Amino acid sequence: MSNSEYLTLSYFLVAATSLAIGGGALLWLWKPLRDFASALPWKAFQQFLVTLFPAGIVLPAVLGFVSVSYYGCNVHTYEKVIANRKYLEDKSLEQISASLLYVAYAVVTWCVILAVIVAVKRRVERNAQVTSSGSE
Amino acid sequence: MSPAQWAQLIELILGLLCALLTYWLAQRGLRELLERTVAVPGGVVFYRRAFLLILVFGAIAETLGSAPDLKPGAQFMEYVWAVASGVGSALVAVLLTLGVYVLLMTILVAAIKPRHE
Repeated sequence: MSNSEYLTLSYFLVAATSLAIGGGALLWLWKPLRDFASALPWKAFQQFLVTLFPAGIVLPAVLGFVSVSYYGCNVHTYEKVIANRKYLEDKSLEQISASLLYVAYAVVTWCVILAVIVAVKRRVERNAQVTSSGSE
Repeated sequence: MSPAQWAQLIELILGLLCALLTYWLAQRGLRELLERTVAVPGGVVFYRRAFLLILVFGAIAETLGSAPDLKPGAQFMEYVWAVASGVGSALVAVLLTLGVYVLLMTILVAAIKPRHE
């Protein structure tokens, strides 16, 4: 297999791997997120959260994959890119690594978002308790 | 497989072990804290799964990102140093995850007075 063929094959295989990384993370977190959302008192917000979550996990995986450029400091042409098989292998690993990192960042962001929601929910519950005890 | 690929595989396994060991050590305390703090169905499971996912993805990403650059005929200790460097990168990811998580839990506890206390 020539290096050019190897590049084409590995590029699309790594793209599929990145999608699988995003999809796997989504499947792993999907049920607890749905349970979490269904416990919220705001119906429209539940729907919003559940609709947005898949995009918020899968898109970062794709973004990580496409963020890696095959061109670099001493590699300005396509001929130089495909000159070295080791360079192509390293770039494939770098793309998978970037996908994993971007998904990890996305999950951290979702953790922060859920923390804010928990804090708001608790505040609303407390205010409701204060209001009901004040009116008695 | 070439010796450099073996070195990278060992890096990956050791990095994963570090991440799983950290999760195993932290999970009991984390579960109790989350049950008192989050107290929303699904929330506790979400945070525990997210913690494991970030630890494992971070460790794998760092070990894959630091592919050892070893020439053919490299000495044994050069492979050992390459593996140590990769494990070091994985440990940085694990420690960063721990730091972010502790910070997040601290903010949660500060913002919400946990139940049953």
